[in-house]
Amino acid sequence: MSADRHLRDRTEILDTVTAYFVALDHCAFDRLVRVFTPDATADFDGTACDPDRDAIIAHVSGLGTHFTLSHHQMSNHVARIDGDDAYAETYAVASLVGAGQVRTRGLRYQDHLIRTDAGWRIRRREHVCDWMRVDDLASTAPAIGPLPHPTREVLHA
Amino acid sequence: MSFSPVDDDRYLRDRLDILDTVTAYFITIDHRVFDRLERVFTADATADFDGKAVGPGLEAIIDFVTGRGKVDYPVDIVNLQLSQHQISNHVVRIDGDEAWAETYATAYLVDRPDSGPRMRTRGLRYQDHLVRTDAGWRVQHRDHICDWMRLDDLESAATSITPLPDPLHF
Repeated sequence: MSADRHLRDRTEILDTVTAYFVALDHCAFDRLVRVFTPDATADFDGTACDPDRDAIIAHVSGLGTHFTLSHHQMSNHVARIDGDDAYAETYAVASLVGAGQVRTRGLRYQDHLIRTDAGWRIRRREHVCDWMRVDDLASTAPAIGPLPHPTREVLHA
Repeated sequence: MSFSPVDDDRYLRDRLDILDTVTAYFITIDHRVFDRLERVFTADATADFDGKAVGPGLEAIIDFVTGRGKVDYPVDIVNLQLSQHQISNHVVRIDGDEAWAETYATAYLVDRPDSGPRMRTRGLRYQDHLVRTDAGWRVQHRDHICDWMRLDDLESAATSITPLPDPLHF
């Protein structure tokens, strides 16, 4: 495989994983179609979500209603590509704001992605929360607005 | 000293490989597969943890992070329920077959000392000298610096870390 294709694949896989966090925080839940295959499945802390992408989107957008805003920051991202399959582990810190408090959660996502005509998409996700802390808020914005144009086009890739 | 990439493709590949090597350190110690630190360090690597010299040699580094070593480090980083080391800022300079990097990370250390469950959050910086080997980029010397540490009350924590999926083993 050429170095160029490998770099392109790694970048696109990272973009797909990142798009999840950006779509969630900006409440662009319909854009989660850019992240998952239509037949995707997911586990959240060992509990299986109903199968397929529509159910996953419904689940995560439902969680969003418990907080006035969410802020996810990615960190470690490792990926292994084998032809048209890829496996990744990605860490993140989620800050969930509501009722005068912020819940901070240390997360890891273990993903199986496949190469589709539209680009790399997640077919299987395991979401794990390793630790959670609750702190009083010093201040918060009232909400996170939509991505500005033209940046928002990254969710339509 | 001048730094100039050989060509764009090789430079980008080197940057990604160096990032993968530095990230592999965090994955390895969090998943507690310490023999895999061979993916990170040269066989003769040395390290300095906040002024405490470790090494030379990969075995000495593994002994240190697992508590088997003779180095007396003032913070207990070994007897943990779980840890997450999360990478952030990463700057790299490449010159031929050598590279120099500074990488920030936040370490979240969950343990249960006699006083009860706690989490220590640490702001870290790693200053690395890497070399290009036949197996890829490896750290030959590392300075590990802890800039700040905080004690947090935990709402909840997993009892241990879930395993690294098989395809991600290196």
